[in-house]
Amino acid sequence: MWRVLSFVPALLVTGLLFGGGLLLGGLQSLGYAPALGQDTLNVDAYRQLFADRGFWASLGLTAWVATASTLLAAVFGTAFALLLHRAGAGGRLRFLFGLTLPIPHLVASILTLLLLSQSGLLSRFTLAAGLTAGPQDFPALLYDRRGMGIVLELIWKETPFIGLNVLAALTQLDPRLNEVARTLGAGPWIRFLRVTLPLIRPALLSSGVLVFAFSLSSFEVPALLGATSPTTLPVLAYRAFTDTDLTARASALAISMVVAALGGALVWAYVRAQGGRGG
Amino acid sequence: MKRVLILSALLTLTTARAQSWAAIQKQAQGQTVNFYMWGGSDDINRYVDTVVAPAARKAGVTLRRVPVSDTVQAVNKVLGEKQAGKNTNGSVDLIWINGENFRSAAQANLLLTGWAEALPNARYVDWKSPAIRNDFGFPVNGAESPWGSSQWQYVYDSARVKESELPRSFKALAAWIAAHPGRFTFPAPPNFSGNRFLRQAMFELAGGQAQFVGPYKPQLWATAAPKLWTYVKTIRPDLWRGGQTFPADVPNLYSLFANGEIDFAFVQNIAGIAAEVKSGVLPATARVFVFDAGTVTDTHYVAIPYNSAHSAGAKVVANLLLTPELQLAKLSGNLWGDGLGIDPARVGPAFQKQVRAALKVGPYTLDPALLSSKAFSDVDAQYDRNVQDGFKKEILK
Repeated sequence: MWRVLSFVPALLVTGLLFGGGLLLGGLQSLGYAPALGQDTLNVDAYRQLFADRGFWASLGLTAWVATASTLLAAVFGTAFALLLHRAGAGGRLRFLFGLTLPIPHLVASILTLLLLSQSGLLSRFTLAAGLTAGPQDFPALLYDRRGMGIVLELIWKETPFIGLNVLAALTQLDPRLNEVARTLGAGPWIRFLRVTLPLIRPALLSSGVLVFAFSLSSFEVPALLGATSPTTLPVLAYRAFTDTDLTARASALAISMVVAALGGALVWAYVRAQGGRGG
Repeated sequence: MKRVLILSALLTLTTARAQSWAAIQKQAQGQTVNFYMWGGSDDINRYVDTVVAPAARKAGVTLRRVPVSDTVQAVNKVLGEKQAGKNTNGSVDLIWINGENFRSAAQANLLLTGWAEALPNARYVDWKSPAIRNDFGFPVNGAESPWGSSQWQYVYDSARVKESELPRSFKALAAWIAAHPGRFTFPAPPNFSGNRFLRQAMFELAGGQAQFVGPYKPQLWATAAPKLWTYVKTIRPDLWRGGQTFPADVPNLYSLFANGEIDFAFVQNIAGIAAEVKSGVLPATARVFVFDAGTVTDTHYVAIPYNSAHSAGAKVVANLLLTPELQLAKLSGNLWGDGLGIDPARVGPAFQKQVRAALKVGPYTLDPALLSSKAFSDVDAQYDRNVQDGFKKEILK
């Protein structure tokens, strides 16, 4: 009982601020705008949205960006964690590995831009090295329709996040387990799959879910590195929200609600899956 | 308590109508004015911070510049406050605004009206001129005070393109783009400049700007629109990055231009690109030119939201923006190069001489006589809206 009560203050703040925002957003997505003289609710915004091909293209891109960046960040993060763990890395190496964590995504996106754009730093190196004759010869990694630039930035930022989580789980792992598996004749690959992976799975899953939910709702990264069209749902929502036609706000909030529902469904599924295992 | 607050708010509202300028000045003392303005140009920001803000401080007002990436964000903020029932003590005091944003803000009753012509410095403004009385064909109605004027010009790099090869019409531009794939682009609407670029293409393709003057004509749009979209679809494959993506704003366009990814950009300052070259945003080999048929000229304004917490301070700042010294400093290509919002003839012969001296014609600045001979006004804001929607439907689909 006391355990539950101690959460009440935090829950109240989150519930009020977050739930209130969600409720108001939901109302506005249903066309509630008293300032514009609209106080009846309807689902027009959603109907228009689901009939719009651009929305589905945007949803596809958002899902692809979030999936690709989460999977690759998980693979790289786990690989780095294993390497660092194997090398018995001390605090200094770990610190270096986590160096990108405090950099905001906004700054990281600008860095990506300066580094990888067709007239960026790398392109200037290839020009100086005589590999390219101008900006047009450098591969167009940014602003492309498949969101490559967005995925690259997210991987760069989120790999250490997942990696450090996995590393923390690895350090708690009993080394004797691997010894036993080895004496029983298991090769390194089998040992990883059967011994290490099941033990780091909770850390990998929890950080992966966080990264996925973040990538789904990230605004600044696709806004700076994505193509004009298709773009991800948060950018689409922002555009509708900043439309001079004030009636487009319902559509902006409807898109935001879709993003919130996707993120919510994902977390709910994760919590349910965890619930069966008491952790 | 609440009742007292509402009563006092009502009192200030009713007395505000019949206020003398001296009373406004007195009320403005010690106020902090939140000036929401597009922050995409370091030169303009510097002018506001180093010239306008000190002058405001002398008048007893603290000017706080709030940069936005699009004016619509300021309009949205006021609308959000209106929706939340915050009809006094709003957080926006002054907005740099014109065109479509003005129309939508005026239509949602978000702006204070009937104050602009009562400012002491309004005597320098030619309020009879239709270019000032109407903003994109929408009556200003005292809700906007002029700040300056601009004219569209094209920027090219003389190190890469010869003057004799310059395209001087949209038809010639299409031919140039086809001959130089990947070397031209424009910001995607709803960006202000991208939209204005496309509207000018529409004028030429439909046979001139004159027929677009006056209230919005649906039939005219119906015949002009297909020509415009056919044009855009024709040049699109040869645009920068194959027309698959567009820069978001003029600063992005300038960095592509300065980095040698594209060969043309746009500018709207009367002094051309003098300020941009001086601050290093554009290379020293950059030059300006206009199309033979002319380009759009227009006035830009400041407006005060209906719920501004410091409307007296905002009026003092709007009045300051019209003082001849500040207008002259703004005209100089050393700082910004923006056109005047006042009529030099109304100030006096000495000022007229200073204006002529301030506009040094040179490699970065076109002759004002040439500019004014090749100028036409912008048109009803509905065309702006249609171009924006059409671009999304026809091009970005």
